[in-house]
Amino acid sequence: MSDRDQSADRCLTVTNLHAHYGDSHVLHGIDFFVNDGEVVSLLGRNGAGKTTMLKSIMGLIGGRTGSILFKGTELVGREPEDTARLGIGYCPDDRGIFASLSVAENLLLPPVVKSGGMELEEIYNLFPNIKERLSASGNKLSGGEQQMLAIGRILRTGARLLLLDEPTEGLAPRIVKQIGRALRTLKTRGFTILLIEQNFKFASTISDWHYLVENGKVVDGISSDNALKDPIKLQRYLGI
Amino acid sequence: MFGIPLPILLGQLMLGLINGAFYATMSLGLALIFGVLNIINFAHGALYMMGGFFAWILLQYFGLGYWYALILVPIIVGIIGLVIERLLLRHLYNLDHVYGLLLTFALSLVIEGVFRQNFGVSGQPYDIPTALRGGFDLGFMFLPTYRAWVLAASVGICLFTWVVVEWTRLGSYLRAATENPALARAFGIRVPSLITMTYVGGVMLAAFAGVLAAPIYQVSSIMGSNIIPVVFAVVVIGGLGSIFGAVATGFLVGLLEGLTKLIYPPATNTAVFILMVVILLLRPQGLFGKRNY
Repeated sequence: MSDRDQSADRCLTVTNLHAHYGDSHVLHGIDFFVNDGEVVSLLGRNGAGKTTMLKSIMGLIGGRTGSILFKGTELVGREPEDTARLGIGYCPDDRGIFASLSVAENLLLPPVVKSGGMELEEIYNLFPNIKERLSASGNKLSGGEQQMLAIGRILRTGARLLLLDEPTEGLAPRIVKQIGRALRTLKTRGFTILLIEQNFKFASTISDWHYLVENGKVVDGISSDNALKDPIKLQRYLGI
Repeated sequence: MFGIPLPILLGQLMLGLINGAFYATMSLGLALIFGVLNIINFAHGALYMMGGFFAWILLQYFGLGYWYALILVPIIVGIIGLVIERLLLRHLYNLDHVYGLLLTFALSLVIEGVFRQNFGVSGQPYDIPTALRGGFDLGFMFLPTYRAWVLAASVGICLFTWVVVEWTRLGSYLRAATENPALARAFGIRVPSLITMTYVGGVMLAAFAGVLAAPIYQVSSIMGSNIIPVVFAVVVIGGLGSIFGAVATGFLVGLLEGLTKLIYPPATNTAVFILMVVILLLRPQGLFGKRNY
C-alpha cells in the first residue's frame, strides 16, 4: 500500500471488524480505510463478505465487534438510523426501491441529515430518466432506472460518504456507462465513495484504490495504476 | 326486494352502516398496527372497551361530558398504548406472530378482568349528548342525528388516516417501514419511534370508536369481546396490510349484517363468518390483500 496518501484526512477507518449472521462468522477481522474524497472499491468473489462489510458499517448486522470510525465517531454499537444521520448514504445490492412508494416518494424518502446535499435539479441532470418517471410506482421501473433512483435518493441528504453495493450489477452496457459518468461527477463534487464491484474494468475507471476481499478478510490493497500494470495479481484474487 | 318495504330495507342498511363504521375504524387500527409492528393486536377490543368506559367514568366521576371525552379519552388510552408498546410489545418484533397474539390476548383478558371486577358485566347507560339528539325525517326513513354523526365521524377519521398514510411524508415513512424496516432505518428514518407512534395511533382509533359507541351500545366490560370476533373476521375478509381494504370491508360487513337481518334474521351473527370461510377458501389473502403472510 505504498502509493496511498497517508496524510490525507480519514473518512472511514475500519479495524479488526468481525461480523456474525446468527452462528456463522462472516467477517474475520477486517482492516481498511478510506480517505476523504477518495473512491475506493472492494473487489472479490461472490460470498467473500463485501456486502456484509457495507451492512456492518450501516449497523444492519446484529453481531459485529471491532471498530468502525467515521470521521472520528465510532459506529459499532450505533443504530442504523443514527449511523445514517451522521452523513452516510447507503445503496443496497438489491437497490431497495420501495414498491409501495412512488418514484418521487422514494427519491424524497431519506431525510436530509446535513446541509450541502444536492438539489433535485442536479440529481435530475445526473439521471434524467428519474425525472420522467416521478409519478410511477416504485416497482414499475427498469433495473437501470431503479439503480439510478437508488443512488439519486441518497445524494440530497447531505451524506458525504456513499456506500454503493454493486451499482452496475446486471445492467446493460449503456446504463453502466451512464452510471460510471454519474459516479465520476460525484467524485469531482467531493463525495467519498466506497464501492463494491465485480467488474474491475469498471472500477478501475473511477476508483483510486482497490481492496481485495477474500473469505471475510481484506487480503490486499492496490492502486488503480498498479492494478492496470500488474493484471496477473488481480486475476489471481478474482479468479477471472 | 324480497318483498321488504323500502323504509325498512333502508333502515336496516343504515343500521348496518353504523355497525360497519365501528368495524371499519377498528380494523383500520388493526391493519396499521399489523403492517408496521407485525403484531396481531388482540387487545384491540379491550382498548375499545376502555374507550367507552373512560367516557362513562369521565362523566360519572368528573362531570366531563361527551365532547370532552371524544378528545380526552383517545389521549388517555393512547398513553396506555404507549406504555404497552414500550414495556411489552417491543420485545416481540423479531418473534413469530403467535407470540404477539398470545401476549395481546392475555393483556385483553387482564384489562377486561380489571373492569369486570370493578364495574361488573351489566351495561352502564350513556346518554346521547344534547346537541346530537333527535333526528331527520328523510321522507323515506327516519335518521337519528347521533347515528348520522357516528357515520360522519368514522368516515372522517378513516379518511384522515388514509390521507396521512398515502399523501404525507410521515405516511411515506410508514409505508417504507412496513415494507422494509431495516432499509428505512439505514436511511435515517427513526423506525422504532414510528412503531410506537403507529401503535398509539391504532389504539387511539379504537378508543375513539369506543367513545362513539358509548351512547349506542351500553358501556360494559364485555363490549370489546362482543365486537372483536367480527372485527377480526373483517380483517381476514379484507386482507391484512391494506388500509383501504380494512375500511371498505368494515362497511361491507356491516351492510351484509344489516341485509341478513332482513332476509334471514337467525343468520345475522353468523353471516360474517360464513363469508370469512368462503373468502379463506377462494382468496386466502383477502379481498384487498396483496401479500402472503
